[in-house]
Amino acid sequence: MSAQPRVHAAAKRLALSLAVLLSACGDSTTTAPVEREFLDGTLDNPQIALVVNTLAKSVRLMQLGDLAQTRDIALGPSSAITPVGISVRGRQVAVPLGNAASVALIDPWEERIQRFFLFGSGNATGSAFPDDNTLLVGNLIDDLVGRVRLDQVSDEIEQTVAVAPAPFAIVPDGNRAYVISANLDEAFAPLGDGVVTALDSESLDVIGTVSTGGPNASDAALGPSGLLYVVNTGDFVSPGSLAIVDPGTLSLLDVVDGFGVGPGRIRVDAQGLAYISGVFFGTLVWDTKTREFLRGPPDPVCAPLPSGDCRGAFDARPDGAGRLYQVFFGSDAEGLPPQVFVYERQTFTLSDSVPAGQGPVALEIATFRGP
Amino acid sequence: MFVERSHRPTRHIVWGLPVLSALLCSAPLSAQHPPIVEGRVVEAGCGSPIEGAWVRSLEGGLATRTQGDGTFRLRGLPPGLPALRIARLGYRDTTVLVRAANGRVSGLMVALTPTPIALRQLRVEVAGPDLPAGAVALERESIGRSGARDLGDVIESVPGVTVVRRGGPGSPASVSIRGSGSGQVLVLVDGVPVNSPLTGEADLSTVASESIERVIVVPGSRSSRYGPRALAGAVLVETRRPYGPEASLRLGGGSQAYVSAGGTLGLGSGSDEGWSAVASGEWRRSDGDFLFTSPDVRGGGETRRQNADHSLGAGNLSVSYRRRLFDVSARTEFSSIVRGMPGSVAQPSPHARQSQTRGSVAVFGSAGGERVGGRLAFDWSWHRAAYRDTAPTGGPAFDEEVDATGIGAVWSGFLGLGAARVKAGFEARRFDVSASSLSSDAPAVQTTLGGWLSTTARAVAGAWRLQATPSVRLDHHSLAGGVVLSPRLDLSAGQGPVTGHVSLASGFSPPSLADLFFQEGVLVRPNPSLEPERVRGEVEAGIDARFAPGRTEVDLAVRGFRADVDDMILWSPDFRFVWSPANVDVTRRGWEALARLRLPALRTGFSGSVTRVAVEYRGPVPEGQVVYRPALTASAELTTIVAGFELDTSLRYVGDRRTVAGSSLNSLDPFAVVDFGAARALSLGSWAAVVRVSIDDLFDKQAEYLVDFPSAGRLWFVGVELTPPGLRP
Repeated sequence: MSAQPRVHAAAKRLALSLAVLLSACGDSTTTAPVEREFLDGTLDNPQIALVVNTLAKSVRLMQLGDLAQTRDIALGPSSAITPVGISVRGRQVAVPLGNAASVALIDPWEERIQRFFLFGSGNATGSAFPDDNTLLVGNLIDDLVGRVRLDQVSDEIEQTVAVAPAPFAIVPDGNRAYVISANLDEAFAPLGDGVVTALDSESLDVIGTVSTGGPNASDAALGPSGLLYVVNTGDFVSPGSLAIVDPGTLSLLDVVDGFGVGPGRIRVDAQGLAYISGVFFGTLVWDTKTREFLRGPPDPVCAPLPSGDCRGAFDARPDGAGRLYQVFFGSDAEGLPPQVFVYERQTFTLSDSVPAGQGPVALEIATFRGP
Repeated sequence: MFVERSHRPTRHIVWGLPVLSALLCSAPLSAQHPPIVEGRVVEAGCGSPIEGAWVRSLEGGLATRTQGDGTFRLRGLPPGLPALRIARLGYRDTTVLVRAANGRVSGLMVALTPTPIALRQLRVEVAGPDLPAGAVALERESIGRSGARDLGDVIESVPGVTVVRRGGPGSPASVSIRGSGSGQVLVLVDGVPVNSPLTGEADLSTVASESIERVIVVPGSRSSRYGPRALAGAVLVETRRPYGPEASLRLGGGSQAYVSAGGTLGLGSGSDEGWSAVASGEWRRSDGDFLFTSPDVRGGGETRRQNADHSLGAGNLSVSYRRRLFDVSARTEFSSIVRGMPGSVAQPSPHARQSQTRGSVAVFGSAGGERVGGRLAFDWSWHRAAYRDTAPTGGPAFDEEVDATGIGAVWSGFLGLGAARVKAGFEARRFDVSASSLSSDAPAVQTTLGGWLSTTARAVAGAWRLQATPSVRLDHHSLAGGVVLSPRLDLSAGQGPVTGHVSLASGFSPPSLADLFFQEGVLVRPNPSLEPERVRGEVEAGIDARFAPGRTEVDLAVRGFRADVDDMILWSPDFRFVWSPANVDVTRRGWEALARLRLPALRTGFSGSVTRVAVEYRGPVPEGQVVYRPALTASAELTTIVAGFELDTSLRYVGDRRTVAGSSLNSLDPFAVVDFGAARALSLGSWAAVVRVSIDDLFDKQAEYLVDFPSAGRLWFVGVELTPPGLRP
């Protein structure tokens, strides 16, 4: 892996040299192209998608301007590496590694892992960057959240705070962070409804907790109104629900039912559209302003199978132009490869699909190109 | 000068002893002075004296060793034609008959041929009636010298064989042949399956090498003879065979506080007829802890592997009675191992323990001659195991037990019809299995009923030797559903030193109880609708050649095969990380090349082999090589004798392995492990001793075949085998 960037860089230098040479030999006024790195994206689209491939134990980077241009960053062969999430802030990328009980800090420019931060045991799940130098990481087994400074000397996650059982996700919000706990026991059976624990991300003090009004809370996102939308995944048999929480007062405002069986990841865009993905149905689109579905369980956004059924989706999120990118885990048994599907803005018409790595479960879209 | 025999004297010589003894004993005066045999042992070809060679009487137990000039003197032999066995490390053993008379001194000159070194591998035999093409036979002689501790050590260098260990000595070891799954290789000890009735896999670490007389590894689909699970090959283990009076005591020690002790005691006439028995026992233990480099994901640096200890007791007893046309024997082999199950290095389990007891009793009766004969065998086997972890690092504590008892009956017979030989047999087997890890609807009984028929026809056409062996077996296995037909056709043609062979075969392996009925729990789900794994139309072709230019012996073999597997059972995680077995079609194709060179004059032997196997998913999703199937494996061994030391250096190479289905990311790097051993025969007064020093993983590679399960790295062992005066080891 480490040799690959050097090869690409060398090829670029060679191409650049040839371009300069050719321009010098001719009478054209063409100037040499500005050398761009992969993370700069294409000329007209700087956005990069980061797909977490949990089976391949890797992160795949894709240029949204040219989805065929990809890079893979291997996270390591250890069978304990079971990543399910990713956090991006500025140039920093963090991937909690699940059973490995550690989180990888990735340098996307060098396409390598900078360092690991380690829990003593457990399962590292959700993560979030409250600021440029701080990372919060949840521990699903040990029921705690740890905090590291990116410039700390030690690799250990030493500062921790106990939270409600089975924390799955962390949502940063200024100097606060909301920890979404499924509230499960050792056998992953629900102890009750999900719980949101509000933390002071600087002091790691627990500010308070609030119930999510439904079992197995797994993800959340802040809407433009400042409300917190929490997905109650439920039991994978009956439909899940969406909890609306006022983070300021830590009060449960509402629980909206009918979000399909097993809803998982949620994203909310600047317009207040919530994209809720589920492995059994695809992606639902729900307007947080009107509290109505644009694409509800009867007609989710999905890549249909020949049978007419929907492919499921682990995650989906829009890019800056409003196109929706959705990751499909794949199914060996059905001969369906893992893919990233692209849908048009507003109409959600399926417009493109590209291979993902093995076991895509999470997606982020970021811009790394400097000003 | 002398009568040389490669093994024991033949029957008519033995029968003549009483007559000769009676004649000699009729001279009363000379009877006061027992016979004396004086002689000299030299090296064949050059005539150099051989020091330290053992000269033993097979009848009376007398023994002595040669002096520096190769001479010896043995007094007190029984009058007549006593048989003497002359043996020296590095030379081929020889048995001679000497004419001994009371009051007389008989002279004897014996020339020993430098050993065609007993290499651990590449005992490649060209197709024969009892050893199929491609089969590799490993005999007691080479096993004893190899320093092997268990069956996994014994066969790990056999071409096409991969032994997968989960740690250092005493850790579980499974076998793969030509990229197969471990449940696709049938392992039989004295005809009794060692494969777990629960998982279908054989744990080679539970078969102690000291119990083994002979191992035959037969690659390729062999269900036509051995039935279920012999889809990719069979490993046939024969426990120690009684040869008459023998005794030895073994002591050893080494790294990781390794301690071993064992012994063998043989009784009986030592002749081809009558009663004989041999018992062998072994005990060993080690702490198992070792330092390893922690993976980066767990912080890197050196960490101590803990809870990797083991303690094993194993033994076997074989009793045999032979008469001219029949023999009856009973064999029992057993082992009991208690060990820590340290888990992966990323997720250690410091409190997980396993205890496992396994064994079998088999009774055989056979009768017949050259043209017609039969054999009947009954066996009883047991397998008990317990797995406990009172404080796992993740998930609830567990306490699982497995209790399986098996009975089996096998009849086989043969009939010679001119140039053809017909073999037939029938096998009935039943296992009663109870396991707390199985769901309540799991069947308590597994049954196999099988019958086979095979015919071998040979012909000579000009300079060509031709052979054809069609065979077929019908099986009904309770977990396979219905009757399964497994045909096979072997054809060979040879001229001079070269033999070509081609085969077409089918085989099957039923899903295991664990695949079908594992108790559904956190992150695990069984699949009760699994189909049996099948190989339909395996094709193999190869050429074996044996040359002997000058004083050199050369064996060469090349073979290619295509053995695609329909419905291979592979476990993989789904989107919830729930692991479950599924049937997956894979292609399995490859080739093997083997070479062996023996230079008796230099007391040196070399062998090498390369195996390349592509085991790839047949469909587009996923694609590429199946995980943990190295496409390339190789082995090499150099054995030589220098200043009385037998030196053995072996190398095993394992190519890169995928850890993720459908992705070459995060593959494990290739590794090569070098083992070294040295043995020296010594004389401790009237006792004979062989001291062996071995170093595993000489260059301390700590290679891990499976991710997160590093091997122990460089380990040293010292062992001594002591033989009382006058007895063979």
